[in-house]
Amino acid sequence: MTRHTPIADDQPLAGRIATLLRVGTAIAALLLTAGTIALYTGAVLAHQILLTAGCSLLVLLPVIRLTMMAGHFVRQGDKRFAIITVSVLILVLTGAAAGAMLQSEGVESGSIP
Amino acid sequence: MTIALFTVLFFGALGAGALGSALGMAGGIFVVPLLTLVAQVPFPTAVAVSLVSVIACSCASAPHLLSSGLTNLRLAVVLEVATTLGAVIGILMIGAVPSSILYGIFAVVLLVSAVQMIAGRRDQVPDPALRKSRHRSLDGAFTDHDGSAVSYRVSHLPLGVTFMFGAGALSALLGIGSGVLKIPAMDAAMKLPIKASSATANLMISVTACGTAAAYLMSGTLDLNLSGPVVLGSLAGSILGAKILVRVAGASLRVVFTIVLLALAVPMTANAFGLSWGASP
Repeated sequence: MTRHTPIADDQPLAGRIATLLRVGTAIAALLLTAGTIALYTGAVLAHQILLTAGCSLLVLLPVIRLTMMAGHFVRQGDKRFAIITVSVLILVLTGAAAGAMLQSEGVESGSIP
Repeated sequence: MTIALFTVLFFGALGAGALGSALGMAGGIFVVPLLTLVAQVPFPTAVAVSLVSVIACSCASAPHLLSSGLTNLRLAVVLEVATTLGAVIGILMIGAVPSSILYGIFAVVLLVSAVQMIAGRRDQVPDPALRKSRHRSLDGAFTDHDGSAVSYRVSHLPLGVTFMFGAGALSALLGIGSGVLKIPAMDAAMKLPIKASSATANLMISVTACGTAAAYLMSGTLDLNLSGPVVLGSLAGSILGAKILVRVAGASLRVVFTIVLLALAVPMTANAFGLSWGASP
């Protein structure tokens, strides 16, 4: 008889996250490869778009993973872990926003090439 | 970008990814020097590209560990509060810390990582005073490769959290996965079994790095040309490392790793003192 430990209840979630990461990384790799081919065949705009898409997908994967986990904890009725997961999400988004604003300022003031 | 530079970056990143994944890290610690020394780009540019490659490697190697039940998701998300908070602080410091100091910190990280690699990792004896689990929701269990069930508890969570905060800040400033702080935090401070520690730390890298990476991406300061070969190379490397390199004797890998780390510490230290050391273009 399996003991209902939290970690045992999480195993289906782990499986879903594994699938997300496998599929996501494969798609990102395809986008980046396509973008690289585009660069060397002279399609500069396609190169920019494909590379941006590939990098954006990679950066989004952890965010999607966190959202999935938050949903899982909500469904399980585990308020504590739902709040913890959402806090991490908020911190990630805060960091991204703050960093983007600071970087843009740097670009405008000429201190970043 | 010339084909020559593309090839060098691709295979350099491949080596970084392979060596990193064979030893349970994301390889960012090699990618940043690869970019600053070989491609001769400024430190922040190297950091941005390295962060994306580190996320890629983490996402590529996580599925296997997740499926085998080694990753402790709950512990990961608790620790991620600390790493992402550290990353926010790191992000706020980005403009304020001069590159020479960052090179210096990077050199220290290289040296500490080399020492950790030589010292090796040992499954710690769990604290005998911890008879009752303090954080039952974080208790873990997995099935070892020989079929035996291993269960563990988390000790000294506050100490682990402190390390993780530092790991987050370093990640944002240096473009690394911060295994240098995360692994000792999980092995020695929180006394997790090595396999659980590696698997959980591996998953956490992507969340730690993604805020900073997103910032660079959204502000347009991520160099897409460099990202192509580096991210693809490190992805290919991390898959190769996990499948092929792991079969090579563990001891010789660690020696190679340590030598590379020490070798890289030299030019990074030179750059810290303003000597502008890099390979000829």
